[in-house]
Amino acid sequence: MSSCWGKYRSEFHDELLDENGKPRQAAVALFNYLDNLSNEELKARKLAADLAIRQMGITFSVYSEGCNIDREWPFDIVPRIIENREWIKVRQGLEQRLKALNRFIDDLYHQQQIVKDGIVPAALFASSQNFRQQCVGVKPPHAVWAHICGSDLVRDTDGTLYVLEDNLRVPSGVSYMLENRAVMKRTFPEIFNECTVLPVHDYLQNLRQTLCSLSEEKLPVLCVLTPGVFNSAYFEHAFLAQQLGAVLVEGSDLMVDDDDCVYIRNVDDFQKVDVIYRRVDDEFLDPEVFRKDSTLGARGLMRAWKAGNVAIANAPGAGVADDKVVYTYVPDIIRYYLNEEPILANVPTWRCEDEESRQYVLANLSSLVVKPANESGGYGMLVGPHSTKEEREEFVTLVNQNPRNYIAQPTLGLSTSPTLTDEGMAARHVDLRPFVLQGEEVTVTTGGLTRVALVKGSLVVNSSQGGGSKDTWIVDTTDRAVSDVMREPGVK
Amino acid sequence: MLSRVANHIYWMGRYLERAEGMTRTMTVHDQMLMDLSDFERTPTWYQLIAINSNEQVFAKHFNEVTEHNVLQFLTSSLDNPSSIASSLAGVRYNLRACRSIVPISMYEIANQVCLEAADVSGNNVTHAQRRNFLRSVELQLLAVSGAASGGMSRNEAFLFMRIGQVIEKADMTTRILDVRSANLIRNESEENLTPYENAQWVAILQSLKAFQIYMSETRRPINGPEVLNFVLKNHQHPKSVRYCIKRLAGFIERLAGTDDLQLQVAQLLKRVDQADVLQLAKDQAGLHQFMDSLQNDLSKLGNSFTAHFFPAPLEDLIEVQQDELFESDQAQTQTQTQSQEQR
Repeated sequence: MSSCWGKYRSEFHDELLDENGKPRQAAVALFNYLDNLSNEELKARKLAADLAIRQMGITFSVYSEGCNIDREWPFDIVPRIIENREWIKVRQGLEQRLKALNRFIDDLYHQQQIVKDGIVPAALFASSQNFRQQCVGVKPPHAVWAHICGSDLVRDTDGTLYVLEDNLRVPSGVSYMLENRAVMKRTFPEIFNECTVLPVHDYLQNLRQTLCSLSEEKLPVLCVLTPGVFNSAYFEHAFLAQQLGAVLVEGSDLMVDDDDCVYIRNVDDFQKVDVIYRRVDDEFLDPEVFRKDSTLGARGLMRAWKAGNVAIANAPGAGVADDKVVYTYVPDIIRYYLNEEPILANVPTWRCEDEESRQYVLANLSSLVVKPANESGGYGMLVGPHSTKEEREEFVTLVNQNPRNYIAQPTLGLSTSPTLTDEGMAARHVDLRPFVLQGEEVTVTTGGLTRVALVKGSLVVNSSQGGGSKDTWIVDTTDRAVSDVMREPGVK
Repeated sequence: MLSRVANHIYWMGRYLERAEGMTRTMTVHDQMLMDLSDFERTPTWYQLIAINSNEQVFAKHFNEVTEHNVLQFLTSSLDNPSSIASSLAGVRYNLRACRSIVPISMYEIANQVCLEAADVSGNNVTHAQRRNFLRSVELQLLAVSGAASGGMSRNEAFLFMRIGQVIEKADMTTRILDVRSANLIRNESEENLTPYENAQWVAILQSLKAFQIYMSETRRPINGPEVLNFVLKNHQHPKSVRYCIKRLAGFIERLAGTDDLQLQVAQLLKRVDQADVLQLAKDQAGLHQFMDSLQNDLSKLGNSFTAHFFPAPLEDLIEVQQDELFESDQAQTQTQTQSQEQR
């Protein structure tokens, strides 16, 4: 029987295997388990996983596919593994980061002390597309604006995990993280006996707690506000509402009355809403204040929020910190507010608005990645090593025209993780999106959503462009963990 | 419960029932055709198109009445609003909107049967494959009902679903009676039935899963007036017209502010109770008229019900916005037409 690992090689840092092709400590059990499966068995498991995803209705939509709003979520059956000791450090780093970012947002909408103290320039937020004048002076509960944050982490060739960006508007993906685990349990039930994989489902309790902590009611009425069944992440909205015991609402289900409270239209009455977990962008929230043509939000929602009659997560205006130029200041922001050294590193970044940096960037375009400040998902980017002369010339013009809107980073050698392909086990690039929550407390998912570029050599993990996902295992390799799990009542 | 979601779960109930009714009817018809193959006046599959009054729709899409065309129209055609595929598409559309309030197991099974049905094309399906398909859909739909009744709280959501189901069920029963009995009505009901007639009356009972109960409760041989009486007026069989309307009355009573609707249902119940079955069993035109008027009343009742609970028309256009995970080269927002789910 030929092992699936026979031809496996990675030219980058690999998440499961070390440079000698031997499994890392946390991956030994999985490595051996897969080693004992024939190729046919592996393929059968892959089919079983695909079938489970289809039956469970785990979908995401890709708009270019027109009427197919039920495209199944692409999933790879080989999990990505992170050792618990490393994860604890990452978790602390993420908690630190979100705490600092929330202090920063709150400061921006009040005293702007950080600007007065000369840590960040005033021009930074004045020119930010996501700074909302309407939010100035508002005091959300616990002074927290970004309650749910999805940060993207990548590992470079040297093995260091860097924060690539922080998504503070409506980050999605957490339901896929949870369902990936459910699919793994269906497909590989026996493997969970072999190693100590830490559970992920506590996220839902933490999310519920976070949302409830935004209201003074003992049993607040929670809503998930969705743009509707055609939204790419509608599955996730329905899933979260179901799991949280929240009402899944569309804008047309909400009504703001003269008392500036928000109500939902029930069959026979109106019910007051205390907390709205919105999955609709700022601009669409309230036609009274933002885009007038929006039918996704509710007229008067901002009035109700400012009056403190309803909590909105994430708070309107939180996206101001979701800006790639702000990102470059995050280490300073952490030092300024928390008086601590950043635990997680940023990817080294040049701000094109600094004269010196700009000159460097323009002179080294062919080795750098240049990104616009306010876009996400790889939109409007220049990937230097893969660019043509014309594209680089175009970017020289773009950057010179609006230097504030561009940053540049070195091209990273993204880490890989073994992935089952048509040619057998092969190395594919991955990233990681953990979700961080802040209400009264700060918590982090155990691991997060691992996205994988399914195309050989590709760095694009985006689901709409050939990306897939994997279950992410945080594995505890200490003896204590194993004995705790193995011990059952009555067994000595 | 949200008014919008109540609307969707009501329609999901209707489509579930419609899919189940069509599946059952086709299964029974299939059996009957095999029994009757030697008789001259053999009914054809075309009869099933008449059950749902879709003759014109069929004529629009097919030039010829062949078994293949009719079966495709009944099973997989999305042009036929009563086909199994259309009904299941209706289930899926509405289920998506109420996904957050139905049990996960119910969603999974319903999702599964809808996907399976969409995969089966009407072309080149053998007789045995068709039978297996119908059997599989029927069993899965039963599992959906089981997951719903075993896993749903007896709250408004359940009530709205059940209301959709009993209205559709009563409607289906009157349609089956109407079309199936068309060439069976005779002036002298005392004579013994020919095997041909017997098989058709049995088929009516079987389409309604009522044969066993009919035999054990009436303890009489199959005869026209008795079957008619049973299917129309039986108090205990869950698919009899009377039973469905009685249930409907009970459901609607539990909803506040429904006096008008309650009155409408009470009148309908009275009409069924007062129907002279012996007379109807002899009078082809009279029976057809009566069934037609019952269908009319049910349809009016359905309309009054939706008008009462879901008065506000939903926005026709909704804007679609992408979440950050999925942001790609496409425009940030786009518009799509959301069509209402009414038949």
